[in-house]
Amino acid sequence: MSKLILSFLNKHLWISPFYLSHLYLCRFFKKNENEKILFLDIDGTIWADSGAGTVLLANNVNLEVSSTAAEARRRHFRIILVTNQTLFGYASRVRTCVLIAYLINLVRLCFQLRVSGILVCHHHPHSKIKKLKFECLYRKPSPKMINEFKERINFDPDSSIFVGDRITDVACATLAGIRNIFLIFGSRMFEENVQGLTRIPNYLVFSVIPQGSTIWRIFN
Amino acid sequence: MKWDVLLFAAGHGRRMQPLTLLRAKPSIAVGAETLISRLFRQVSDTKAVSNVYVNCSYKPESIMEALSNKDFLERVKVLWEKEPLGTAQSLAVIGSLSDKDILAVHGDLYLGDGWVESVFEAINGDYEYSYVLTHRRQKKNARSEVIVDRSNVVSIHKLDEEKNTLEGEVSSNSGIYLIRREHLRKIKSNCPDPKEVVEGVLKPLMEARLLKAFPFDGIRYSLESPNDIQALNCLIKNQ
Repeated sequence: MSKLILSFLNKHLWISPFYLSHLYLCRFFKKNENEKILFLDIDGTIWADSGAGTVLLANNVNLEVSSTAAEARRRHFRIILVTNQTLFGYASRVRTCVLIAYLINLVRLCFQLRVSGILVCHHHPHSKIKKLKFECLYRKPSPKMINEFKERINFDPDSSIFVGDRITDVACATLAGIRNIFLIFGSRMFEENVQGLTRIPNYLVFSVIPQGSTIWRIFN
Repeated sequence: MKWDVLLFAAGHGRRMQPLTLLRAKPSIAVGAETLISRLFRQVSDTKAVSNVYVNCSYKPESIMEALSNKDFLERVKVLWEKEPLGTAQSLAVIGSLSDKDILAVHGDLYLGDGWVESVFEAINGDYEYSYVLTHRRQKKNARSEVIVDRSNVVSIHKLDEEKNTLEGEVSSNSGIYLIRREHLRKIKSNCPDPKEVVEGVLKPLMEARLLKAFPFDGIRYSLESPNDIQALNCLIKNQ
């Protein structure tokens, strides 16, 4: 049964469901030189973050992202979502693929935004699935997911952009060599106990996006 | 050529305790504005300045809250430091990101409007030298002395507040520096060990005869104890 569902997803959706990979790219994503990528965090960035395992609902979306996304498309940016979303850490093989398909279609419906791929870490230290239960080195703020993506797609870090809502997002982008980093200004900005996170470098440089504006105004 | 500005706002402000137990010193309000938002407005309102960086480490949320005006946030670039790097190292970080001369200003200063333009007009053309801005101060209140010979800085040293009971005025460090990008790159390789800007940046420049002093004659107040806030509020009211 699961094979049937997987083959269905593989055929009809534009993801390659390599289970336990951290990288899901759409079928039309071919290796080009110097791609410009807009990396978007999911929770807290494209929709409101209401804690661990936020349920992804269409009425929760941050509509300000849609103007940013439309401008990104106009400027020939590819859009890649980057997430540690907890739900993936609790999902079985088939459910993971269904969740990714749901996520991509939700983003497409809400923002008229064609996502080119998702970087996701399935592993979670509290997962009920034995295979997934460990502290994975790919989780943000580690840059490993982006570095793995870089090995597949030769993107240009100088003209790529990362948008997130937490200092861990900024750390992940900084460590991956992306220089244009934007942090959405909100209550969660500095809340992490950064002293406990050893992977955060000694300093981070980033710009701030206030609520209600797009990154392009600042980026120009 | 335009400047990039770095506002130092990472320190703990220990002399201002208990006011700084909950917020960083530059986010303290004096008059109608916080110190950092006033400085940010002054430097971002002028054509002399391109990018504005603010470094923060202690209570960074209070600094961001003080700058939470939409226009401010869109123009600021944040240098977040896990532990305060020290002013010299923060300058070195910005120097590696920026291709412009850096105007570095301590975030706890209250300066009169229009100071950026007047400083820009006076010293922008002289590309050979970096500058430290100085002001005249009673010797008993001064924390540092800058000795100048025909505008070249020949010595910068700290004054011991307890022992220093002498009468008279001295030229004191204003906490505003213009460092040329070439100089910052030269310093960078030797720098980060002395963490403070005086030891890590100004003294090496002084020894290389690349540092001049510029007398700052505008309004300048700095907060050094909680009592200063009341005094400063009175002064602003009577201006």
